[in-house]
Amino acid sequence: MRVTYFGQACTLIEVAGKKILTDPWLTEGAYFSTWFHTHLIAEAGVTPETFPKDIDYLFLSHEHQDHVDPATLRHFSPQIPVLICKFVTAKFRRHVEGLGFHNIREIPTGQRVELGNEVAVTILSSAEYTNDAALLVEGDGCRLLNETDCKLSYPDLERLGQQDIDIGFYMFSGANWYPMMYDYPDEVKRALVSRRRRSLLRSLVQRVKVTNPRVVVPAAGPCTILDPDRLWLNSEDRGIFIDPEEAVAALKAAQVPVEPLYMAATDAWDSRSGLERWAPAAFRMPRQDYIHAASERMAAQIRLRRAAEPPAGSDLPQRLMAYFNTLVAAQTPLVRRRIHAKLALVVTGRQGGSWTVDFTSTGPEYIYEGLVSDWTYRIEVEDKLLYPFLTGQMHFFEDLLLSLRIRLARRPDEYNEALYHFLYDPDPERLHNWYAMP
Amino acid sequence: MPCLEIKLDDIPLEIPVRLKHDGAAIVVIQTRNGVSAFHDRCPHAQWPVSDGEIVDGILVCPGHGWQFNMNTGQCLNSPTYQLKPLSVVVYNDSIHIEWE
Repeated sequence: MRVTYFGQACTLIEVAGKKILTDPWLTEGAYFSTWFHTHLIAEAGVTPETFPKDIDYLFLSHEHQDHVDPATLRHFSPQIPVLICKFVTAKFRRHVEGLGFHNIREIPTGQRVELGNEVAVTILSSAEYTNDAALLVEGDGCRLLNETDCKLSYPDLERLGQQDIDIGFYMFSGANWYPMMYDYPDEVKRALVSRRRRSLLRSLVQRVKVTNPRVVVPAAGPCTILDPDRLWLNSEDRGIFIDPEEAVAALKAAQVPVEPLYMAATDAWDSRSGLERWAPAAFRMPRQDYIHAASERMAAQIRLRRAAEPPAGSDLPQRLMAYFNTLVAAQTPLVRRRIHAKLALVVTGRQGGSWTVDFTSTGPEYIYEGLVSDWTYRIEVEDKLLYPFLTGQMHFFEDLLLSLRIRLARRPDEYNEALYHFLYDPDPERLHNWYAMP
Repeated sequence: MPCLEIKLDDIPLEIPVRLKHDGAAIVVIQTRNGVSAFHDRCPHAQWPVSDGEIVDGILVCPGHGWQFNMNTGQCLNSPTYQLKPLSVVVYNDSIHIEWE
């Protein structure tokens, strides 16, 4: 078995004559030009245009843009078999279909599927409400696990631990907006960042202990923020995007009996000969030095992309009210009670304004202009970033949060998971079933 | 109703202890406020919280860092989560735990 790493969760697995490519994200600037690879992938000679297309299977884990990138995927044949997890709803399958693929194989979680040549794959779904999936590949007497961003249940991890995994790609870095984008005082934010980073590394160590692979590759991040105005997001004391070298150090410090391996994009691992270093030397320079130099190289391009973002339409207020009123009204009373939020939306820009989405309302109106004094969650965002979600041009509201081009606040300062689930996927039946569970 | 009796001295202060009995996994925690016991399963992704650590008086799940009040089992990150508490009676130097 041979596996080449292309950053984030992208691995090219070559086993017994089969080629499986996972989560190919080969462009830069996901989520409104905010997310870049750990190292600029094109500088390792990798582009969607030049990437070899003789792939037997694609595996796509979940809808996030750094995993399912339309600009990359349009370079692959629409006939290629695409392996995805059979999730609770068809939303992800429809998204993949919408990219032009029509040979999609939805595999139920935990089901082992033979691909021929004694190669088999097993897809495991997340323990959470969100759609996500990990991949186990077996062949050539070897087993590879790619966790992607997937938070597997403990029983699934225990079962993996009994499978003699040879090499595992594990998520270790933070990959969202908490706590950086919240309005905490700076010292509180730094303390929360420190706690979150400790927790993420501890989680990595624990998952590795349970799954017990021979070789561990810290993967699926960190993303890099190259916008010159937001470089602070990459810092150790203000951001949660952890240097892979820290993950390797954490595994060594915990004395876990595994081989931690730092693979940069284009490095390869062969089950017979081990690591092959192919990545440019610059990918191994100190992370903060690399980021500052890369930011300088990309600053002009980021400015151009931002300048090309289409403005919001003048119908934003009407669309916003219809969008949220329809979605909240469609929820069952149980779900609205569980969310129990007053969501303040502060939209800046020419079409801006303030609105409150009130999940505590008895209906039929759930949104009104202006902010109530007792709002519980606040999102401040530019009109042009919000508008594509209101028009249906973009389907995954979480992309807006992942752009890190938002400001957030919450009162009280506690995680409202039901609100997050609503923003992630407001499918009424799915939400109801999730919260109706005993 | 399954039950279990253990010695108070077998449960160190503020160190989660995992016990298995009748097919059930239990975590027992002794604090300065008393003894509490829960099913040893984080409601988030089913990790055994007994493998977690206690930081500043808070039980932290080893899996994904969810935090719990050691006495009530209430999740401090999200009020919708709670460790499932078991009935605990302490008398003399013994702890009696019952669950359904």
